[in-house]
Amino acid sequence: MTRSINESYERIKDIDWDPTYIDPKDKYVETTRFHVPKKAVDPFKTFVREYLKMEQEKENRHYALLEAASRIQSSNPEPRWMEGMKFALSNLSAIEYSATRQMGRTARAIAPTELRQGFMVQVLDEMRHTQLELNALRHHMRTWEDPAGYDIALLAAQNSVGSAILRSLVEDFMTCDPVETCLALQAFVETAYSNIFFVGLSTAATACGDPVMTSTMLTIQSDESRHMANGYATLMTLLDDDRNIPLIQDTYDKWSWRGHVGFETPLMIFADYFVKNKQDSAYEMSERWVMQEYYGGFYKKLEKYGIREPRFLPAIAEHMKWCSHTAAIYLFGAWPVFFHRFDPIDEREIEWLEKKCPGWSNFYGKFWESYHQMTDPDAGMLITKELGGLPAFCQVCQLPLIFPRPDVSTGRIVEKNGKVLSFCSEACEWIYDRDPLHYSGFKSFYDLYDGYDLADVILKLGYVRADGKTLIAQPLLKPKRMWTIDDIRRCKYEVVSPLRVYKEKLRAGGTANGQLKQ
Amino acid sequence: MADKGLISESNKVTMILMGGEEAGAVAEVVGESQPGVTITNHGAYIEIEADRDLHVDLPKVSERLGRPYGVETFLVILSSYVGRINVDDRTVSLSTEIG
Repeated sequence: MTRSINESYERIKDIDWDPTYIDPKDKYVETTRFHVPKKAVDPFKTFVREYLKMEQEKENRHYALLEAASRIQSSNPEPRWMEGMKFALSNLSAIEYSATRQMGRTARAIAPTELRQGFMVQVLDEMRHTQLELNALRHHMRTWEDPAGYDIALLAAQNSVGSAILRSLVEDFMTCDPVETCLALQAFVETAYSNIFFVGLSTAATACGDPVMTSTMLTIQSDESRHMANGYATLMTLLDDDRNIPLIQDTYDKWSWRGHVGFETPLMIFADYFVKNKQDSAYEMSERWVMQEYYGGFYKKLEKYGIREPRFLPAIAEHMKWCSHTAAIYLFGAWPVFFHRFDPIDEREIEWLEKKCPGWSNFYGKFWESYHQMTDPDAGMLITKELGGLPAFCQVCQLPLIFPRPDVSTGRIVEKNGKVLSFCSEACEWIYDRDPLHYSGFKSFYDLYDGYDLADVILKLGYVRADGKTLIAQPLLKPKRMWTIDDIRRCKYEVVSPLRVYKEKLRAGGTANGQLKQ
Repeated sequence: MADKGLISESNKVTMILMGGEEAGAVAEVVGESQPGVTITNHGAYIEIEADRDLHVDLPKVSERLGRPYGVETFLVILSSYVGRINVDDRTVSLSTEIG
């Protein structure tokens, strides 16, 4: 008679043992500040044999679709979406790879068999996700009319200024406490935010003629189901010990903000600015998946354990209303330092944006008017320069200091222990103050390129096409003629670090600490 | 919207199933056994929403499809969910309860 899942699970768990040939501190390598009980629960009760069968079936179905898509090529992919996927897929594959490393650390540091099994399976899942995204990237590189940008996607994930937002997030994940990283990734980012992109945008992918991305997103998310359960199981295990309550609260206070600015914000932009055939707005998706489903359907219920609303939740709620629009003017305004062609919004979309975000035209309309006037390389006007140059970037999250909205930016430049630092918000400054060493080493765009001519920055990044002089990035899908390095050089834009300017003013006896004045 | 603070508690549970024949069969079986559920077909995925809990009886889905259909095959198409999940030999369930 076949044993039930529950019976088999209990039996297999009993095979675990504490080895005598190695000291626990050598076995676990890293310590954690959390108190981890010996027993836990895994709601999925994952067995390797069934897991492999299930994952093989997923791969068979998905790669059959990929192969068919290569042969048939009948969908009419929306160019704006296909260009946007250069940025999305380059960053996503890097994030998934970092999650592999996070789960390896957590599997090693956490003792209960039930949780360890879930984490080790997640290591395999995250490698799978990395490969799924790389294969989607490769498919698009081979079939899309303009492969430039797809071909350097992995390089760009490591060196692009926009990717710094995601790089700083995953570096925080990979280096923080090994139990904190589990709560941050699984119990927060994967449960709250991954649905916005991988479910919410899957229909947008279909509407944009990209079935490869639809299938990639939905099959990735099927593994997230188990990851959410890993996070929940870990959280419930930790809540059994009251000493963990303040540590969990602290983790949620940090990662509610960090996950929002580092993961949700860059992803929200796609719904509003990279989908011409409009579906739900980014804010509508966030309201549903984050505020209602995550905070309302899960987080609120932790009150009975003494977990309070995250400290910066009011700031998150406000930020969510504007962040996709502010992120868009950053991306489009800094177009020369990205690696895809841009397709600006049209009148019909402006009407839609005003309807979805009342007041949008007042705060963002002028930028888009200016953008449309500065796309011709022969006119010699670069929007990045004409709008005053790139702003300072947050030392913690690497967002530019224009959020939640440029006219009400919460950015600040301050001195701490002899260093001049910039932060996007009170929340990031709070995160920094808790653990300054963790964030001090990140080299920002200005650390690397202050004083450079923008043309030399683009060359150093490697964002030129095969001829060595035409930019990969263009301000339009089909500009009158493509911008080249010589066009950028003619604009005479020198990268100037706002922190350098601030320090010079300080030396001259000028500016005091405080918030940036607009 | 909020009773206390910014968050209103929700007791909704949701399953997101990759669109296709199997998702259609699951939606039909669940719709018949739990009449209060809301089923929305988004094309790329089918969404099944319920109040407080949701159960998928896999032997019934197997019968509907006319072929063997077990937990690991169902989990291939379960893209996401809202709620707390429990998996055993014959059912996959969601609940709004914590702890």
